[in-house]
Amino acid sequence: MDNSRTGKQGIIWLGSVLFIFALFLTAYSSKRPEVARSGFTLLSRVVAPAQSSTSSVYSWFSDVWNGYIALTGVVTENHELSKRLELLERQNAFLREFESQNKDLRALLSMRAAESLEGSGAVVIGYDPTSWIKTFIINRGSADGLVPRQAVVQASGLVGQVIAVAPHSAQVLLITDSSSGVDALVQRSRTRGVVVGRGRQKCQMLYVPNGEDVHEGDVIISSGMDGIFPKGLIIGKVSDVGTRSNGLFQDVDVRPVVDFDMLEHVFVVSRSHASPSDSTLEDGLGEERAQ
Amino acid sequence: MIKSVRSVIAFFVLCLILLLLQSTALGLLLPASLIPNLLLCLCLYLALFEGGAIGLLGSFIAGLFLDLASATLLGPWAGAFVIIYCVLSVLSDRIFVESRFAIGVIAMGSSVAVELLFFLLSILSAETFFSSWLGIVGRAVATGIVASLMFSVFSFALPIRRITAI
Repeated sequence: MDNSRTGKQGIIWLGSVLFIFALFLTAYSSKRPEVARSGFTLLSRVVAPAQSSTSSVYSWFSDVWNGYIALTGVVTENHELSKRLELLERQNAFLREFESQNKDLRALLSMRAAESLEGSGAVVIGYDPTSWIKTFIINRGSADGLVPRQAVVQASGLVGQVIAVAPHSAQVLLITDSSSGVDALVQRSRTRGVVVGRGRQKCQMLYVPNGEDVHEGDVIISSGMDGIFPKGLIIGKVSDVGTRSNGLFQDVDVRPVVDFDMLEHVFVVSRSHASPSDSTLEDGLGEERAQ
Repeated sequence: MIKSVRSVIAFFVLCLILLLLQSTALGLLLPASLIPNLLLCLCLYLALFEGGAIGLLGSFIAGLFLDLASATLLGPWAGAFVIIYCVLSVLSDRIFVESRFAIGVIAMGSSVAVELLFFLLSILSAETFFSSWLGIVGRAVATGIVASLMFSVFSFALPIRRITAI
């Protein structure tokens, strides 16, 4: 009995030491995020190939099931229509953005050469194992030229940014994570703010002064001012606007356009400060015409 | 010596497999709010069956695996696992671990506790925590359901003879 008590006391002592060490690690890694990222890189070297294989096997079974077993025609048609709708939404946003840009630039009698989006496609191969941190893993890494702070997008809009890279995989922080921030604009009124994550399929636009013209349904786009996300990418739509009687700012809730539960393929933008250009729009229109 | 080296290798391989299952295989099949915390199950198994310093170190490492996979902070999961391990190893004599129901209930409670500890240690906003309560409950139930099954797997991969005080 005494031995058992001594053993338990020993566990509590050792537990206290390990707990304090964990606290120290937390504090240290919050000040120096590269420590956690290099740990992830190390772990990815072992886990990423297996994740990639698992994802491929799942994808194969999923394709077989969806394409041949479960209502072949309906699924294919639905998929095509969804893609077409995404394309049209993207073109619509680009056109609005161009209309607005055109007006401003004509007024200023200057024209800036717009850059096109360049980068590489990637497949989602894993998710954060605990879902507290809104991240996922893609099958492209430093060997493919990826570096941290690159924007990740989908046809329908902005997804997030690369935060850590391993040789053949990378961790992407979603815009819905509470530690994510995107410099943004209300597309209609050009009101600026910062879109931060608020958990699952929720964001909030901060620092929008009271009295600024923001309405429910307004489209929020990236401003390109943060040096990570290209200008003009759709983030989401305003789902609610609230004003505080004693506050300086409005509470603007934003619902992202990207369905983060259904992410499979993403596009990693290789150049920051890229803005939607004529060529990008023409590509989109060309794709539309081809269809 | 060879046996202990083998156990250490088996432990690390098990951690990697559990992480892979949790982050990829189950992540593709289930919604995020229903993915059981398999590494927590390993921590519970060690606490209830091993109960010593080695199990405590193992739980710390299992938590560290979750931290590493998140690529954001190192330590919150490891710290939370250490607390859960200490509490359960102190109480292990009073728990009838042969009962699947008891294991399920302990796993559910531990899952909620470990997520609460993670939230406190990682300094997340209260809003983030409250917006995730449905996920916390879902993961706790899922962890409770798979815990006894995982214990059978662990007893095969890491055989431990339980020592109980009478």
